[in-house]
Amino acid sequence: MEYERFAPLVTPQTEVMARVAAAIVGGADAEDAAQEALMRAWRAWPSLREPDSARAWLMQITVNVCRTWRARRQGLRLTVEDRLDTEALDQYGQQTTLGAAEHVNALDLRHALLSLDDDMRLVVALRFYAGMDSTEIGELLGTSPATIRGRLRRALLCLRQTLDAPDHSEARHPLATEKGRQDAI
Amino acid sequence: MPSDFDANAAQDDGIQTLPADAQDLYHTLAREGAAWRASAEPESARVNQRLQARIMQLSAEHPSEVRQMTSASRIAQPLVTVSAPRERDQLDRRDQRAGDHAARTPAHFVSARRWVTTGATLAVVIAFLAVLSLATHQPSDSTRQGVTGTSHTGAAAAGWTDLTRLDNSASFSANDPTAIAPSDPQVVYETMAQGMQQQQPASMRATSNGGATWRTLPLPVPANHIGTMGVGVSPNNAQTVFLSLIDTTSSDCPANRLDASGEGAGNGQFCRLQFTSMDGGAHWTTTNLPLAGGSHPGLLTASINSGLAGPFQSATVRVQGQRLFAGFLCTDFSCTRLVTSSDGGRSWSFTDQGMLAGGAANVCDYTSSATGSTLYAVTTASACSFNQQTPLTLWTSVDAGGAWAKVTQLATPNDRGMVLTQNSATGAALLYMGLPRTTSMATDKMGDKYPVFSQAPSDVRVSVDSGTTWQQAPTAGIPSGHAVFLQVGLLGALRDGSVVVDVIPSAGNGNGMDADNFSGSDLYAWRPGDAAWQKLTSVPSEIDGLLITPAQSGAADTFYAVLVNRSGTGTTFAVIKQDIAR
Repeated sequence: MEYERFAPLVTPQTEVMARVAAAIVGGADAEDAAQEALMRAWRAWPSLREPDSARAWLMQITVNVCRTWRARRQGLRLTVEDRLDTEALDQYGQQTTLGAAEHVNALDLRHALLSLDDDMRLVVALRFYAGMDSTEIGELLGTSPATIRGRLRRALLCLRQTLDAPDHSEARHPLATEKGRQDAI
Repeated sequence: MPSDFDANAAQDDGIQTLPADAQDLYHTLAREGAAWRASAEPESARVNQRLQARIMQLSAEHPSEVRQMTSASRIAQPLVTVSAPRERDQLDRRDQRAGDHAARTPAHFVSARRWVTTGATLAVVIAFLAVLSLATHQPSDSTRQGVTGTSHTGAAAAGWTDLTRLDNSASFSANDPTAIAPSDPQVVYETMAQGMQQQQPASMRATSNGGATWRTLPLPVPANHIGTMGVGVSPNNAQTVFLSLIDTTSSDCPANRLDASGEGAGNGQFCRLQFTSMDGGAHWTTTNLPLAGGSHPGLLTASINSGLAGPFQSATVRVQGQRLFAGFLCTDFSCTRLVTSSDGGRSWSFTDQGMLAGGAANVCDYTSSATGSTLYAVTTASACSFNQQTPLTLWTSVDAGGAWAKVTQLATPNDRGMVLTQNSATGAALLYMGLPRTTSMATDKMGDKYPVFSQAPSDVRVSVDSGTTWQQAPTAGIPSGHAVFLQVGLLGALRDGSVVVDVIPSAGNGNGMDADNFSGSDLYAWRPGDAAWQKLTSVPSEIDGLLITPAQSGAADTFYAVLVNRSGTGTTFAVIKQDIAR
């Protein structure tokens, strides 16, 4: 792709890049991650062949950068201790508007989210915090919308079971084992 | 992109088939997500403005250069040093931006290193483009059949030769580091995989002539069943290859290796498999490995890549005469052990029982003498994990692992690699370890503790009495403002017995967490008796691995450095070579 087309094609996507970055790495690091994604897109721009693919391509770069960013923060390269570390979820615990009638403690939910494996957490973050639908998330992660919906349903079941467990800080749904260490970025 | 989550969205997501309480959770998350997006909107708008400003800046600064480039010339042409005025300009901009950021962000969220990295990234891009503008009249080169000797990594200025024929330039999501055979560096193996989610065919190739020609290797399972894989080579035999992979199709999986965590294809199950080839990858057989605890299958850390990574710091196969040693990682990550092979890698057995009988639970690291029968290993009484900060115990065996003796408890709970070699001047055995101190325990945003490591030259320690007492390396020779980058471990030893480490600017937070080494680093060497570290050479970008072999002539060592480029679209590797005499 010619560099002259960088600005026209990328500029319309910066809003969603910023939002995706915030959902994955948190607001404090979102700008850094999005800026890095932008620079990597600039470097790799000639490899983009189809202008219609620009949005999905940029989103994939953004997600990859954000996942790498989190892995770096762990001090290891996508190893066993890879965990969700999103300010979005942190804020969730601090700013929840949940009512008592819903019988859900925000902090508990945050801990429950941590019990999910990396990809399920990513889908939850993109679906609810970035506000993307399953088709968009599927494009991002290189899989079908049906797979994303299945992962989302599985995440909800895992979360529900974790929250319902007597000691939900320790509970872990059988499906919710860590996956981040296995999946290369 | 929906702005809110209504009933239609819920129906689109198919949650109506879920139990009522799970549907309630969906709506709860939907409301919270919408509220969070609304609260984050001002900040998102500001970030968006900055991104758009950067786009304008990039487009305005390089219109003529970029117009003339082809993608082929971009890959193949040399990279030179950033000009000083332009670099200063970028640094100024970076500092200004960092200041803005600091003003609105809690201090503990601000990493100075991150800004250095961002600035360096920008500087490298600018240098890249500047060079390309000068190089448009030079002949282009292909990504895979480049001419040996041309420099596309910026390595030439530091005395390196770019082995462009060995570049793994196809960008795949789950590429594994290029595996160069220590016994014959002309033999190289490369794997290419797309990751767990892609369900795209993986591939593997090999060369026996330094990349002049390549052959595609068969794979032991269907190519589109492979999520990620890693390859290792026996130091004794370039044709003995170890391949670990994740198979995302459960029908390929033995029952005891099946993982039901839901990320494989089809029914969501997958497994981690280990194979060996004794003929350069032409044929594969399931590696004959023992079962840990009688029931836990494992993988050889000799062939494990980042996607399968375990806690071993020295994750390579080692050779002692005709014996091989390797780390063993339980496929369910429940254990790390030490195994040995006396038949060239066909079959393996545990050789750590003496340590387990003495109270060790897991083997975290090991090293072996090249000849004789001396081994050293590091164990814990629990899991090998930095975060747990459990004490580490050093053991030694003088009969190739038959019997083990406890030597000492190590000074820190942080093992960043061990190297056993010999001082060529005195003949003394030298046992080096990377043992950074824990300077503090930090807390991530989820409240979890993790250690922050020192990165001092003195973190490199050496023992000349079989591990009983330890001497810290000196600080002299390492420029101020620089740190030993032990995240990549100890890189190896020279033939004179000096240990080799990677040194980077120390602008980071001390944990190596954001030191992605993008702007390059320096290699330094030291051995007991030296008053100071000696700089060997510079490395132009992030180093992922270093193979040190005796040079063909003279007293030099030949360095093969594998450089990694983790772009947003995947990972690629380049290999550079240099003879270094010390």
